[in-house]
Amino acid sequence: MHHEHPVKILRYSIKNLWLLIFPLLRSVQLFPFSPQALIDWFVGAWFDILIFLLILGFAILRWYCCRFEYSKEQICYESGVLACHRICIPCDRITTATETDSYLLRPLKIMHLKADTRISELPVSEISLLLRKKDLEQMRQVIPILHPTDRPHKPHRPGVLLTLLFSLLFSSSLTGTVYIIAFFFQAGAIARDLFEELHVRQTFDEINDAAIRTFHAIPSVIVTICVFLAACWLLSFAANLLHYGRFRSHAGTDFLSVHMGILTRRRTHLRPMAVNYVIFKQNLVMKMFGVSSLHLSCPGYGNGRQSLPVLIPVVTKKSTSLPLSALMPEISDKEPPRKICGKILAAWNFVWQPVTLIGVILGVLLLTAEILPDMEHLIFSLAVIALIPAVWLLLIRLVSIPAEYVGYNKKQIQLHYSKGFSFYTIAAPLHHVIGVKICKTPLSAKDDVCNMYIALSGPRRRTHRILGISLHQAEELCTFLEEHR
Amino acid sequence: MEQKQYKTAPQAKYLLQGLTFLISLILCLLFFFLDMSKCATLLLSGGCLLVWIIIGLFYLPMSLDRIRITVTDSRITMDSGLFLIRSRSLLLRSLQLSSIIRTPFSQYTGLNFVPLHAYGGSLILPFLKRKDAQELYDTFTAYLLTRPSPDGAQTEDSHAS
Repeated sequence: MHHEHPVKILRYSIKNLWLLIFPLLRSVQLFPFSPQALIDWFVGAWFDILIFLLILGFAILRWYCCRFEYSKEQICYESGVLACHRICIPCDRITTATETDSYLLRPLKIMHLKADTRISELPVSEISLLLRKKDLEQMRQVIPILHPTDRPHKPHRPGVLLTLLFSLLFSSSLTGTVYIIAFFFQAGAIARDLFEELHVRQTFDEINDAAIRTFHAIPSVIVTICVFLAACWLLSFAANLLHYGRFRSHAGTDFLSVHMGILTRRRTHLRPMAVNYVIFKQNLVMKMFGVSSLHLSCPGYGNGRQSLPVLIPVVTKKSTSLPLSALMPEISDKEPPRKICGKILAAWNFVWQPVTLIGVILGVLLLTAEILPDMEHLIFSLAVIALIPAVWLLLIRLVSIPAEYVGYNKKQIQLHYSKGFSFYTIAAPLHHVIGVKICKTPLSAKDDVCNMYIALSGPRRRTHRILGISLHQAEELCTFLEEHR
Repeated sequence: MEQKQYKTAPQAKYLLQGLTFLISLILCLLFFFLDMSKCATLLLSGGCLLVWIIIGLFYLPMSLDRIRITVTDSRITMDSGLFLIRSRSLLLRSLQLSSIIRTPFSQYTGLNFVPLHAYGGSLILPFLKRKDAQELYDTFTAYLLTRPSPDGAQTEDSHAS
């Protein structure tokens, strides 16, 4: 049995130890040290030292109880101090293996290995190991998924411009805000200290003041909100660039490898047979220019909070035939002959949410302007900020009325729909459809209109909603599925 | 593999009975030490003891006795429940992983569990004897190693039901 790298002890205890660093650092003021000063310090800090040793001791015990072994057939992992949990994964059940070479751990020659199977539901892997580089090298020699050899196709490498474009298109202020919140939650006291140390707040205030001076016609609250949103967007953009930079995907017969990352490098090996379906994701700008991003639904790949299951960052549909045929022989580039299209009669199904949102914003604007006439300028600016995403959503929904449809043949099913601010085209083998639900009201049934919910196989049960399609054609699809699945 | 049936460890039953008794005893002592009227103390302590009698003496032992695990060539079935009998089945061919959870002195406490994971669901075989848990775990591990990967055959009914 092997143990992980001892750095794991620090990972187990760092959060708790951080709280005790400052009491222990009180000893610095006793410099130059004398025996009496040390005794005084020990008398004052004995309880902190005891807690420190307990935390460290428990982390060492926890590290010692975590062991792993591997062979050509399986990887076994044991963890737990009181309750010993042993899990063995046969190598042919591993669907995704990710090697992470973190820039922080690189000088120590440590790498992180995650192995997932079909049952991976949460962003927690079945096996997650912190290993010495040489141990990982040895594992690579033994475990087949870690050393894919067959590479009949040329690797796909998007250029720098395409990577920049992808980072640009998939960055959002919301993601940036989530990063900041996650950082504060995970790092706790460390985050606050770092923010103070790096003068982040002062820098933000300086930029904010400069922006307020430049846009003096706009209320300062609005400028502050805009500066904050821009900062979050920039953060998200930088994170995307660092995450997806140096992207390379390599399709083989048995394995598919995806390499990415500028600072922290990730190497993921997938089993193509484990891919449930492929997803072409677009936003409105991408749709206008006819480009999309090719993602995969594969257990264990891209199920982290801050990562997308990208196979090719930016593609036109024509250029994806190579990896798609390697991934799923059932899926072809041609449009399936049978189609269920959206009906113009169902336009309200698409636009009711953004229209209601716009109505509510305008209503609140008029009401508050009436109640607080002194703040009319500020309220108007806030309403404009709130209206921009609502109008954007309305545009997306209007575009998706003719673009939403289901295409199918005996081998595959294609779903074209919009959700939130994105457009999706999902292509899956027909036998991956695990459930279909048709929703109709008496009124919509009279107009031959319904909403359809299609569930595809995957570790998490996800339904895909297609709005406002023909009811009798939807029923035909159900019959077709019963016959051909 | 012929059909084989497993039952929960009787030690687990005694342990749970002891634990519930300890909890109700602590609660009773707490009520006595709190500054309450004698009537309220007696009422609450009596309630605690009644709950222990219902749960610790009847419900838990009978529930654990009702658990039956049947392993056949094709499936694992766990029957449980006191009033409503619940039968959960997992097809062996859809089994993806098996693991084992053991606690210290589990041969005396019966705190051994065998979680089984399939595509879409899990089944935890609870409170087994150490020998039974190890036997089941070894059987499933050997089965997983000898059977080829089900990739490509996932359209079959591969969900725990």
